[in-house]
Amino acid sequence: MNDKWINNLQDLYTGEERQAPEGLLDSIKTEMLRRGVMPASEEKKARIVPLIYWKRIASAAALVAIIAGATVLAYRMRVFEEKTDNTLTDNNSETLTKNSGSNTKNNSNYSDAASQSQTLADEEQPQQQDMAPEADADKYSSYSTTAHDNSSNISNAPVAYSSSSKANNSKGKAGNDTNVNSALDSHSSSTSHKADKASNKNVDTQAKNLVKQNDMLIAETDKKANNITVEDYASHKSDKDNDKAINKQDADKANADMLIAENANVQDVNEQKAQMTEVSKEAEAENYTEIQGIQDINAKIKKDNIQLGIYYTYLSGKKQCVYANNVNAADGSSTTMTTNEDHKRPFKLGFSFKYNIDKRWALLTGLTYTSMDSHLTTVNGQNSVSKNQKLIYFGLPLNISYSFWRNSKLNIYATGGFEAAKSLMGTVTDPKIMFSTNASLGIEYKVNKQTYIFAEPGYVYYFDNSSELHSAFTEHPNNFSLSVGLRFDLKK
Amino acid sequence: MNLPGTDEEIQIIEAFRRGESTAMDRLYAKYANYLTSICARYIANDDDLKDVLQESFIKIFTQISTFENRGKGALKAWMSRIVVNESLQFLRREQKTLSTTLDVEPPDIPDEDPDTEGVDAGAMTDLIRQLPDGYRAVLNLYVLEGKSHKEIAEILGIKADSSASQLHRAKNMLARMIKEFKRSKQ
Repeated sequence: MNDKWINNLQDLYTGEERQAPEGLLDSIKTEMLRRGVMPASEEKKARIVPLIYWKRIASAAALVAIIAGATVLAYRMRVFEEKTDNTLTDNNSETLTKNSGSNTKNNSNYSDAASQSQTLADEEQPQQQDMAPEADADKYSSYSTTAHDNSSNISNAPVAYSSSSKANNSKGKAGNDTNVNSALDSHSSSTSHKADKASNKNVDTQAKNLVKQNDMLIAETDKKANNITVEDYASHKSDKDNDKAINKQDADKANADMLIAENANVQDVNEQKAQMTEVSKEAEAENYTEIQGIQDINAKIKKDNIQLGIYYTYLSGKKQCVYANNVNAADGSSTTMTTNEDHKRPFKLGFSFKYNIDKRWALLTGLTYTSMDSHLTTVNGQNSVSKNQKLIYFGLPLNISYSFWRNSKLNIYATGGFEAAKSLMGTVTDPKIMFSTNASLGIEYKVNKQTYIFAEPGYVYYFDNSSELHSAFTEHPNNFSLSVGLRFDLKK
Repeated sequence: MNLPGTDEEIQIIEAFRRGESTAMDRLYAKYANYLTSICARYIANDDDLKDVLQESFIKIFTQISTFENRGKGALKAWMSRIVVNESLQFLRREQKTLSTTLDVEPPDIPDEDPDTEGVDAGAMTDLIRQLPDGYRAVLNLYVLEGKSHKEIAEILGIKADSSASQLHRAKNMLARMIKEFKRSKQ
């Protein structure tokens, strides 16, 4: 079947060209960046890859350091707040003492109860059960703990409750002065801490500005490089007739020289940027808005870098615990009331919005939904009352993620950040905001062209927000978490 | 003596070897249109064409260090092979459309050879792209890649004699389309 038409067709196609799809080179580069692959080069393989490897380790370590640092900072701020609270409460209790003698008696009583219950609260559950009979074997068990559930025979219940959540209040009664002093101390120390922070921030901001400038420089040089490519390309095209071949070669050489020069520039700037990034990493946890600035510049360079996701998070936090309090009834007698709290495992779903800053760093935010059920049984003497508590939190997470290994299918990364959650629905709502911090290791698998499945085992810590409500968050602040879900590329 | 084309090939390969960031741009500027014309003969849909070309270029860029230069045109041939393989791989993934078009008996067309005179390569590609996927693949592999029916059968996962009959029909269909094309131009 070696006919003439076949030869004709073969001849026709010799050296045929067809206009390549528009924007193809850009999307190739974006895709290569996303997959983390580089043009093959033998020299690079030998020399530069190990360097990148170390950079990755350093970046991952920096991420862990950022999260740990922020956690410590948040914890210290909380301690400071608590101390201020103590001073205020001490003043109150003093007023109470002045007001009536019976109150004084009550106060001293409740301070015993408070310190006792605090001890109980600090212990593990089996130990609590050992101690509870000691308080009063017959009356073991009891009635209502939570503040909004006051029964009429309990005087001072709100105070008693708040004191049980803050142990050192009662101690403050004996030595107001020392307490104030320590409060002052902590205040001044935290002021100096703040000053330090402020000056650090200045340095960081400067570093940020430099990084921004560098990024802009890179953007400019990139643009120039592109222009040159276009010229280069144009010269190739016009080169179809052989007469111009010599001209074109000259032009090519000139272009190649310019390209090499540009290339050197870009490399210099890149090196500077790498150094600056090290300096600025500490600042990233504190100031996301500044990252936004860099992001905007990057956004002009790349497209297709936003992903939407849905996920379910398993949290280990379920807990059963018992709280015991001595409460003074109106007739002056004292009873022990116990609350058995059974906090079920929280159920958490999330919707996420992931912005890929470059091939390694990404910012994540979104919306989470957490539903928490608790069964509370309060026993007071012979009577026991149970009720179900449901809290539904809506949270706003802010995370940063760093990918340290990836190929076309798999991506392994570390992620960490914070979440602020507010309870908006349920049998009760908590007026206070629940803050948490998290760090996870993630693995992501590309299922098809734009769908990914991921799993992130990690750790979540819920900060004590001094809420009057008890929940799985407050009773089990240290959590193992496992998020599983899907992510989708958001194409233009 | 080195010919200009060979010279440029060597320069580009050297640029990749040195890890120059502009190596990709240079290779793309030189060969993108040529490779597009090859890919377009296999892939009719423009969106798919872009995807297949993207995969091909990523393969070319990341595997160019494995390429051994064997003289003039070797790089071009190597890249063409990657593009053809990627195109066929894409067609195999879309096997459904491939096999259905291969199985459907077309209406009887008079047996004649395509008269390519007066048709330029761009217009010819446009016509070839209008052929059903299966016909087009067989035609390309036989006529332009010089594969035998046995090889085509293996590549496309069809029977050897069905490859022969597909080519026969593709040829007749193309002949008719060229006629219509010429008539519309007059």
